[in-house]
Amino acid sequence: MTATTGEGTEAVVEALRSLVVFGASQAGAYRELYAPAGRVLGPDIPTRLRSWLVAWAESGRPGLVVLTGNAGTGKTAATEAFCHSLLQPLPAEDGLAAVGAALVAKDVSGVPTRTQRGDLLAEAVARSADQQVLLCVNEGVMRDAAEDLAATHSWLEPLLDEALRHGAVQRDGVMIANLNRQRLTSEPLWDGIVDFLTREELWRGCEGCPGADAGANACTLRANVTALRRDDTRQAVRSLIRIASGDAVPTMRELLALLAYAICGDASGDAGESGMWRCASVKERFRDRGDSAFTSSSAYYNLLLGAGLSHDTRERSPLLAALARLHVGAMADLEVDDWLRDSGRAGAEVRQLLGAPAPADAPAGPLAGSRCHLDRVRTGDGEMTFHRLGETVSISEDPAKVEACLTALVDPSLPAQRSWRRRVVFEGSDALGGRAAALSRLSDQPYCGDLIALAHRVAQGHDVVVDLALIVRGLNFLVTGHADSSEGLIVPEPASLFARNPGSFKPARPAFVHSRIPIGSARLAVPDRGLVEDVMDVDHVEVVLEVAGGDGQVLHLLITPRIYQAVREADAFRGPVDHGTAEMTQLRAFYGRLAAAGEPGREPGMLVADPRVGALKRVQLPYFDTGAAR
Amino acid sequence: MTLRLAPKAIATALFGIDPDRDERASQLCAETLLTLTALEFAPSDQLQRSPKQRRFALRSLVFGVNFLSDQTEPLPGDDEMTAARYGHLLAIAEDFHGSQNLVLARTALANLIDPSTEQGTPAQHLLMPFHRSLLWYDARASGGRYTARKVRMRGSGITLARMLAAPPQSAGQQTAARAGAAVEGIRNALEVESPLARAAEQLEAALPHGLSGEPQLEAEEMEAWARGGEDRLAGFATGLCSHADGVVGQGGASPPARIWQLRSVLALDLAVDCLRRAWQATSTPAEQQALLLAVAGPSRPDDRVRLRSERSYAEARMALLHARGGIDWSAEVDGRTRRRLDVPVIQPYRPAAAQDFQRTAQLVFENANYNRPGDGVRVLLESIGMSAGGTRYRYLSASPDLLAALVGALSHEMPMTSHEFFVRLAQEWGLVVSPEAARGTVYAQDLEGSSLAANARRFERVLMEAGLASGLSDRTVLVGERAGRGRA
Repeated sequence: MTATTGEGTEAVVEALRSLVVFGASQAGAYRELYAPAGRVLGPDIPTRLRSWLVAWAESGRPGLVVLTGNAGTGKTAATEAFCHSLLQPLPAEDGLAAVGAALVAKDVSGVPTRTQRGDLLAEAVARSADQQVLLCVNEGVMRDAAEDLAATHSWLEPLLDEALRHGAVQRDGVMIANLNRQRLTSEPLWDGIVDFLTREELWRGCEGCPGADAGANACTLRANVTALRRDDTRQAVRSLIRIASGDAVPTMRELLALLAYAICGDASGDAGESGMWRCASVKERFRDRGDSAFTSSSAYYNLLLGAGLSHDTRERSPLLAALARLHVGAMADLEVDDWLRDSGRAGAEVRQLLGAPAPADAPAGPLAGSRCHLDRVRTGDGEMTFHRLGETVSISEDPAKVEACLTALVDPSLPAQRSWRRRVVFEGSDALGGRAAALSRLSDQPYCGDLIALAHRVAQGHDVVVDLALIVRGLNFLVTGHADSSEGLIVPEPASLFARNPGSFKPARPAFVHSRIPIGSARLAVPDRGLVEDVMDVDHVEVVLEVAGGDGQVLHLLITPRIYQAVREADAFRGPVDHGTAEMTQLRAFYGRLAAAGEPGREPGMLVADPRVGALKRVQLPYFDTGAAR
Repeated sequence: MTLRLAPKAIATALFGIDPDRDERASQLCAETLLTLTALEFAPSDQLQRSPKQRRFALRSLVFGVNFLSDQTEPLPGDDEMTAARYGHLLAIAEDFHGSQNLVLARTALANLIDPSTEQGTPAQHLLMPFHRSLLWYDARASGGRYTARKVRMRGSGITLARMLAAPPQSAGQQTAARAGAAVEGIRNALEVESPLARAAEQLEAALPHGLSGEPQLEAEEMEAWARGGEDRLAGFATGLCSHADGVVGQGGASPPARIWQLRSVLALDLAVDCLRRAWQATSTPAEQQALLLAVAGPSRPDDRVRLRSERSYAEARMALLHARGGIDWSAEVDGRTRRRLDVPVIQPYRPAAAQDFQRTAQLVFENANYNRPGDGVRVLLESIGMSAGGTRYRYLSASPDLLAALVGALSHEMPMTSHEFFVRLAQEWGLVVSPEAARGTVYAQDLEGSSLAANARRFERVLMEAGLASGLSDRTVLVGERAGRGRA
C-alpha cells in the first residue's frame, strides 16, 4: 500500500529511517527485511537490469546469468523481479532453488562451505544448458569458486576477470554482470531514485503536522523533500554523486540511505540519539519553539554531505567519504560571501534563499523573511536568518550580538558560512551562471563538471580533439613541466619522471625525453561501452586516454576526476597543482608502460624538455675521438 | 686486539650488520648496487674489485664542482686538454668540443639528485640509482684532491650485495635460486638503454683509462663482504633474496620503479632484521614483536591506532637501545668511547667494586654512545617513508612508494586480496595493519577490532589511489594485479 493519507506520512518517515544505514536501526535497507518499508514506499525503482532480467525470464531462453557486485547494488532486488515475472516469490533459501522452471540462488555467499559453493556453481553451469539459472554471488566467493573449478571450467576465471573489468560479458550461454559498474546517476534512474523518496503523494502531511497551519515548509522533513523535488536541486545532488563516483562505487543501498538521511536527519543533537527526526518529535518541537524549532542543522544540503554523522561513520561509507573530499562550501567566494554580508547586493532569488524580508516589510524579528528552516541558523543570540546573521555581522553596533554571529559563522562543527554556500550550490546556482559554475566555484574540484560533460561528448561520438589537446597539454606539464601539445604526448624518461613533483612550488626543471607520441595516436573513450550499456544503467563520468604505443599495443590511462583536476590545473596555471602522491604513482606506472611499449619510437640522441623556455632542445655532450658514441 | 666493548663491535656482534645513522636507504642501496656492478652481476663468493666507483667527470658536470682538479693527464682524444681542464669545463658547463646545451644537460641531470642524500658536501650527494652508469661512491676532498672513500656508505650495502651474489649456504638452494634471479633482474633494470646512461658513459669515456688507478679493495670491505656469507644471517638473506627477486621480477613497473622499490625493500629488511635481533636479545614477548602501521585520521587524540603506533615505534626503539647491554669490563674500548667513559666510569672503577657488574654496566651504557645502530634503524625507516608525524608524535605508516615496494616484494604471490596482503605483511616484516594481522599480537588486546578495521580500510584506500589495488566489492580489494600478472 502506498502512503496517501496523513497517517501514511508518519509511516513514510519511519520507512525512510529504516533505510538509513548510518545507525543501528537499518532493517529496511536489506531486501530480506524490506517488505514493511516497501509497502509504504510503493513499487521498486525501475532499473535497466530489472527490465533485462524480466525480459529474459519471459523469453524462457536457457542460460546462466551471474550477478556480482558490492552488497547493496540491487542484486537481490533484481532477482526478486525475475522471480515475480515467473509469478513466483523470491526463494527463502540462499542456495540453488527452483523458481518455476528456472533455478535461482539469491545469495551464494550464504552457502556454508567453499566446496559447496563450488559445487553449486558447477551444477548451475551444467543445468544452464536447458534451464534458466540466475545466481547472485559476491565477487570474492565467485573468484574462490572459479579457482576451485579451474580444472574442469578453465574458461570461468578469465570470464570473471573480463566481466569485472568491462562490466558485463556474455559467452556461450553464460553472462556475468558486475553491478559495481551500474551508475545510479544515469538519466532515468536518477529521477526514479529521487522520486521514490520524495514524490508528492508520500508527503501530504500527518495529523497535527506543523505544515497544516503554518505552511508545508514549517515541517523540516517536508521542507527538505520540497527542495529535493526542485529540478536544480536534484541535478546538483546528481552532479555531486557523479563526481564522487570517480572515487567510490555508490550502491543503491548507500544512496537511498543518504537521501533518506538528508530528509530526516539532524546535526544539532536535538532529534535525539538516532540523529533523525520522527513526525512526533517534529510536531513536539514545533509546538514548543514555533518558527525557531528547526535550522540549517536539519537542512538536506548539510545532511547530504554527512553533517551530524561521526567521522568513523562517514569514513565507513565510501560515498560519504568521497563526498566529503569535495569540500563543498569550504571554498571562499567573494560574490557568494558578499551576498551573506550584504543581501542588498543580491538578486531577488538569492535574497529569498537568504531569508531576507521583502523591502516593503517593516523590520521585524530575527526570523522575519524566513521561508523555512533552510534559511535559518542557530547562534548564541538565538535563531535567525542568513540575512539577519550577515546584517548583524556587518552593521550591528552591539558587540555581544556581533560576537555571537561571528561564532556561528565559523563554528567548527557546522559553520553558517559553509551552510550558506552549500545552499547556493543546491538552490541558487542560476545566480552564479549554472550548476557547473556553482560547483566549480564552491567546491575544491572546479573542473569535474567539465569532465562529466566531456565524458558525455565522448560517449555520443562528438568531436573532442580540443579536449584531447588540452589533456595532452596538462599531462605534458605534469610529467615534464612543459605544457605544449604541439609536440604530441611527451613521454619522459621514467627516471626523470621520478624526479618530477608537480605539487612543488619549486619551478619544474628540465627532463630527459624518451619519446613523443603524435596526438593522432591518442584518443579519448569512455569505459562503459557495449553489453554493459544494454544490461545496466550507466552514466559516463570518466574518460580513458587510449594511446597506441610504439609496438602497436594500446595503453590506457583512466582519467578520474582527481587526475582530470590535476591535468586541468596544470594546463591552466602551469604552476604547482594540488595533486596527490597517489595520482603521480599512477602516472608513473602509465608512463613506465608507455616507455617500455614505445621503445621503437625512442628519440635519437638526447632531447630535453626545458620548461623555462617552453621548448624541447637537443643536447650534445663534448666529443673526443676515443671510441665513445656521439 | 679486538675492541670488544666498542659500540661498533657490540652492534656487529648483536646484529650481524651494523646500521649507521649516516646510512640512509639511498646510501645502502647505492652501495649494494655498486658492489653488484663491481662483480658484473656474476654469482660469486669472492669480491675482487672495490665498489668505489668515482664517475668524477659526470659529478663535475652535475654539481658544478671540478672533481678532477688535480688530474694532469692529457685526454686520449685531445693531447692538449688535461683531465683537470676537462673537469673545469664540465663544472662551468661551457660548451666545448662540439657540445651543445651543456647547461641544460646539467640541469636535467641535477634533477635526478636524490633529495634524501643532499646533506653535507656535493661529494656525498647521489643520483637516483636508475642506471649503473649513474652510480658512484662517496667522495671526499683532501688537499684539493678528490678521492672515493667511505663517508656515508659504511659497508652494509656490501654485506647485502654478498647475500644476493652468494647467500649463506645454510639459507638453502631455493634462496640461492631467488638470489640469482634477483641479481639478474637488477642487472636488467640497471642496464636498460637510456640517454642518461649514454650521457654518463660518454662523459667518463673521455678520461684516460685507469686514471688515478683502480680503487683498492680495503680490509673493511672484505670484512663486510665476508659477513654477508655468515650462517647467522641466513634467515635475513632468505627474506632479502625473496623480496629483491619479487621487486625486480614484477610486471607492470618500469625499471626505475623497480630499482626505487628495491631501495625501500633493502632498507626495510635491514631495519626489521635489526629489530628482530633486538627483540630476541631483550627477550621481548612474542606478542610484542610487531610494528603497528597507521594511516592517521583527522584527530590525533581520538585516533587510537595512531596513538598506539606511536607507542609501537617508541617501544621498538627502546628494544634497540636496551639490546646494547652486556659488558665485559676487562675488554678494550675504542678511543672515543674511552674518552666518554673516563671520568664517569673508568676513574671511579676499582677492581674491588667489579663485582657490582650491573651497576658498572649501567654506567657504561649510560655514558658511552651505543645507540648509533638505533639511530641507523630510525633513519632507514624515515628514508623509506615509514615514519610519519614529525619528531614529537612520530608513528609508523607507509607511503604509497613503500606500499608499492611491499606489493612488488610479494609479486610472486600476487594478486591477492587486501586481507591476505595485510596478513602477509605481518608474516614477512611483522607489520600490523588489520585485525587479522594483529591476531596474536599485543595490538589485538590494546585496540578494538573496529579501529584496526578502519585502519585497514584507510590503507586499502591508499593502495587503490596509488593504482596498487582495485576495489572489486565492499569486501574485496584486490592487490597487486599488475605486479603479479605481468611478472617479468
